[in-house]
Amino acid sequence: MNDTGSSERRSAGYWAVVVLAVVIALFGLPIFGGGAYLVWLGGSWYYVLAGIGLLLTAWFLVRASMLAVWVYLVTWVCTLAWAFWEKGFDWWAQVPRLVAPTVILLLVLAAIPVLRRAGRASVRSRSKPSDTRPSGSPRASSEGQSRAKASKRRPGETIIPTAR
Amino acid sequence: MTRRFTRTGPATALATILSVAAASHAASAQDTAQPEAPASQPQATQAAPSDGGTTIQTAPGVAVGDDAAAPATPANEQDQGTPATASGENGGAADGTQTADALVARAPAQQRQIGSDWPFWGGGANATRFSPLDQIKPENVDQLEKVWTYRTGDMPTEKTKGKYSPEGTPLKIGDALYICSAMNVLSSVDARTGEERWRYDPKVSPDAIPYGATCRGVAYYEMPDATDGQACAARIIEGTLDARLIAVDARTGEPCEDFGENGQVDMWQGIGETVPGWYAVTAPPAIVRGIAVTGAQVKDGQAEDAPSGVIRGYDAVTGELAWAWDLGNPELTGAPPEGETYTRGTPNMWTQATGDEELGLVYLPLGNSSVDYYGGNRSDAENEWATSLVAIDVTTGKPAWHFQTVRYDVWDYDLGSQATLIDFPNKTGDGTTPAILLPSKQGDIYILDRATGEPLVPVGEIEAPKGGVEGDAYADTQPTSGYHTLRKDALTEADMWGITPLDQLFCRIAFRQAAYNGIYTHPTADRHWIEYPGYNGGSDWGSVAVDTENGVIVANYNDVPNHNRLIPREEADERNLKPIDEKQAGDESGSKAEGEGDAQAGSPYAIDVNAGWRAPFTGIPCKQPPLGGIRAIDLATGKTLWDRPLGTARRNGPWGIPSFIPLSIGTPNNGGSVVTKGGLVFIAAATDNLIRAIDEKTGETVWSDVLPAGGQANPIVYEQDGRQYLVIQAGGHHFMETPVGDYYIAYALPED
Repeated sequence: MNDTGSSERRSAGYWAVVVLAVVIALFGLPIFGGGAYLVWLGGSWYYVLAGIGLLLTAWFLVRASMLAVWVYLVTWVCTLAWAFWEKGFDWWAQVPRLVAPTVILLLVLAAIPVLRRAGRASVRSRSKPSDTRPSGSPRASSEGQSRAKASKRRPGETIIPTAR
Repeated sequence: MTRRFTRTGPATALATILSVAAASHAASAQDTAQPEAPASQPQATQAAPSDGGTTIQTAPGVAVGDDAAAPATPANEQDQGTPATASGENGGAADGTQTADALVARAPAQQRQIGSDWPFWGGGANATRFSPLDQIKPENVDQLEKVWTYRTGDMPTEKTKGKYSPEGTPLKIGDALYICSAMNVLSSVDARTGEERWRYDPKVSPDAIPYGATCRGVAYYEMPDATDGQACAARIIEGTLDARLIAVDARTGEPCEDFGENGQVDMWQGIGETVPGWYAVTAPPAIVRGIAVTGAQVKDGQAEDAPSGVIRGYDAVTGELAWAWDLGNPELTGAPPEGETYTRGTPNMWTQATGDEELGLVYLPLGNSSVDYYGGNRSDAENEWATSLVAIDVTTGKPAWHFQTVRYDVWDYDLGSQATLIDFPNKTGDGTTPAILLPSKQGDIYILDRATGEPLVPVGEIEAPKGGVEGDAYADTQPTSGYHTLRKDALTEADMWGITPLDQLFCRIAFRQAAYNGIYTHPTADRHWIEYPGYNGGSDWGSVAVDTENGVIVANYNDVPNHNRLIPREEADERNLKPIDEKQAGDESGSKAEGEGDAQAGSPYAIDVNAGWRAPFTGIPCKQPPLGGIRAIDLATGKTLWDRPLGTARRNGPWGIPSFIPLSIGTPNNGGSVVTKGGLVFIAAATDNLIRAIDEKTGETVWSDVLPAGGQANPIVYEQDGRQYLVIQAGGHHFMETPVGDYYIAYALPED
């Protein structure tokens, strides 16, 4: 009972991360596409690059990978550097440049516990001989397995942190 | 004194100063009032040291002639002489609707002083908006409290919803305030209590509302030879939206029987075909030597064949037409003959003129010809006079000089600001020259010799970018002030804004797609073009205040681009864009920004203006804040003393939702300021609905209060029974998207 409950919570955590990934992708796609168009028009390169960062972040989030955090951190730090390069301490000018990206940063950081659990789970499940990446790994009482569920959607593609 | 001023903005700064006329047009050289053609076109006289190719189309001789002599001579008995010449010409007026006798302007009269009174729209006769009162100071301004509120009762009906922009400024004379409401309802209230004494409703039809229901104020006139107790010895004169000039007794509000027909004059006469709302008076007349001078607003963007911009002077006592100045037909100095009209489509004057009782001149900030964004079929006379400050001798109705601030205007850079009379320090260091200070929508501040129109400060030339649908027809260069401009550097892509990177990117793409080569980028039809500053300025009708004691100009300004496109006629027809005279009743409801899909009938293009260039969906401006500011400028040198954003973010936010952020951001603003000897600048104007006091020395806001509606109006300051009052209309403004109200609110320090 207790176990089931915590399993559901973990599952909710995962889905929250997926929702975050979708939101980031919804921003990332037009920023990437529009950014490419802007480059073609002779404008700033920032947006196309930021779009790539956002899309990669979304991708790794869906895969419950800690790499999402690192990719996004790099994106955010670069954003910060670019924003100050463009506008310095003009704070109103920084609103579109920094507010939303920083909100995303906080959300991505908030996702760390979920990502780490998922990471541990995948490490454990990988270390088990039984884990030959079946999509239908039994719904089990094992904590590790139930966490592995988090990465079940794309079982073949999970294990990014360990892959590093 | 050559001032180097560069237009930076790395990628786009194509506007280069070609030459700065460093030659000081010192008064000494000009004081001799020789009849000089150059006076009519001051730019033509500018030295162009580095590039001889910049000389501008030279004006054909304007009717200066011996008129130039008149203003140079201080007002005196020569009145009798000059009108004689005038009446000779006027005698030729075809239908004899006027008599030469009626033309005799009165001798210069003693003008009421600003102080306990606020006798003119611009404060005193000089229109400085500088009050010598000093009871309220930076040290005690925080104690200001609301002492009365007067409500005109004039609020929008279902039919006029979204069309109110009252912009009202009262007069204060004696112990009374004289007020007009958005729909021209006149009232007088007690200066101490705000209690209404009388009220006169001219019953203006809602159809008459042009761009907005606006009455900026009224004029006050005292008959010089009135007997005791004579009715209308002192009178209030207003122009109405339905183009009437109305005079009522200042004591009673009763119409003046001796003025026109039962107290009114019909200004439709001689205008020709028009429909309600196309020709409307929104500013009070300027009364000089007994002549009430007025133009009218001709609603922008409708058609080439628009009502005339004729300027008319009426006898302030009898309402008789004293003279008319039709720039397209200078021979016509009275009413047009039966069946004819004043020249249609000519540049008009919708804003406040300034009177010069001493020189007998009235200074008219002229607008541009109909239509605004296409000049292909303008006459030479229109190109000559449009967007000029024109000095007219009220004793003759003839122009004395004019000074053009933009050539071949296709941006709606009409002159909106009232010019201010000052004494400008001579370059030689000794003495001053009677001068006139003129701010423009491009932000340039010019200072001209009042008698000749010659600039007393350097006037430079900006090379205009190439391109635009009219190609070579556009002017190659445009004037700019080497003394001071409120204009900021040209926009760059990095100036684009939003709330997230996504909408910011949207604006950056739009920026790169648009035609933009800095100021004076010409109109395009194949893609949008950016007009920056937009048609709201720079400086608009609120104008600037000038502290003449400390020599400080206080100027609030907008810093907002417009995103425009000419719409080829075929496309305009598909969109069913029609001029006002072809519209069916009810075709248009609610309000839209000026130029947002205007037909410009008779020209090859309609016009679409995104005023303030706001992104669709969010309504957030594409340009980063500040979108408006206020600045103090040293009068003698033109140097900036301080400059800051004007307006907080409290009422602004995405999707029109107030953010309640109390931080200063710099909003668009409409309405001017008052500066007082107490060292305070009072101004509302911004879209945050605040009235505030700013320390004139530091630029810091030292007091503010929330108004119940938008404060898009010029405040006034006066004294009654030893107490200093500040009054502002909280009337709101449809275009500024502030809440509409019918309030006049008075503040004062607590009584002991």
